[in-house]
Amino acid sequence: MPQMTGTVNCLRISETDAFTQIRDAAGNTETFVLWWYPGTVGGIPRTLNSFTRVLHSMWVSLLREALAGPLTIRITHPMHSSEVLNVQLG
Amino acid sequence: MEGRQPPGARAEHTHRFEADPILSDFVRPFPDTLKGKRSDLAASFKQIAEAFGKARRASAIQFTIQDGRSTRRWCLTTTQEGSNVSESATKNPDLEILTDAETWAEIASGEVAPLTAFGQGRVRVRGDIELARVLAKRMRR
Repeated sequence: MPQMTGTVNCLRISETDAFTQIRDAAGNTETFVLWWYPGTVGGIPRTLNSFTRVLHSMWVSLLREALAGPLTIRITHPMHSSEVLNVQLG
Repeated sequence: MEGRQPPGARAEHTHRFEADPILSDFVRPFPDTLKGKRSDLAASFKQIAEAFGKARRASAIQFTIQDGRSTRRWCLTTTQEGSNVSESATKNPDLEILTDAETWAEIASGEVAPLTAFGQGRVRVRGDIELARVLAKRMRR
């Protein structure tokens, strides 16, 4: 799986969607999707369980820490997808 | 993704993005650049180059399309004189859009909005988001 290592440019969080943008050492940026549940404002998708929400919360914690540092973070994602699979700090 | 949606929930979500200064350019689907020829990727990039026209600054936008087992790349070069596209790779594009042929066909034919495809994890966008906004605006001209 491809990985991108860099610092956190921004972190955008809402109930239904969340994005982060990472900048690598060469100055390249890429935007990733942490979660995306459009059309669910005020509702909870059936497919979204508490484990997933806790996982999302942990990703946000790591990204926030990296943004504040600034510290280097590593994002794992599929080759042709912006979907975050894994967030690693340090 | 299905969920327990209160009435008007989808409209509210779309409305939020339309008010967003950056994401609003990607909320609505593009006009159909494929004109019914879904498999003619080259034609869609040629039309995008025509729609882009002259640019304020020179840039290179690469489209990396996974087509079955092969990866095809088109490079849109924009200059102050006009824009050209060729099926070739460029080393350091200012913007790179990576997706599969089916998803690109859906975006280029206006079946799906670019933000929806991105949110669903079907598109990657590397590089200059401002350039992506210019591209989105020009594709609607």
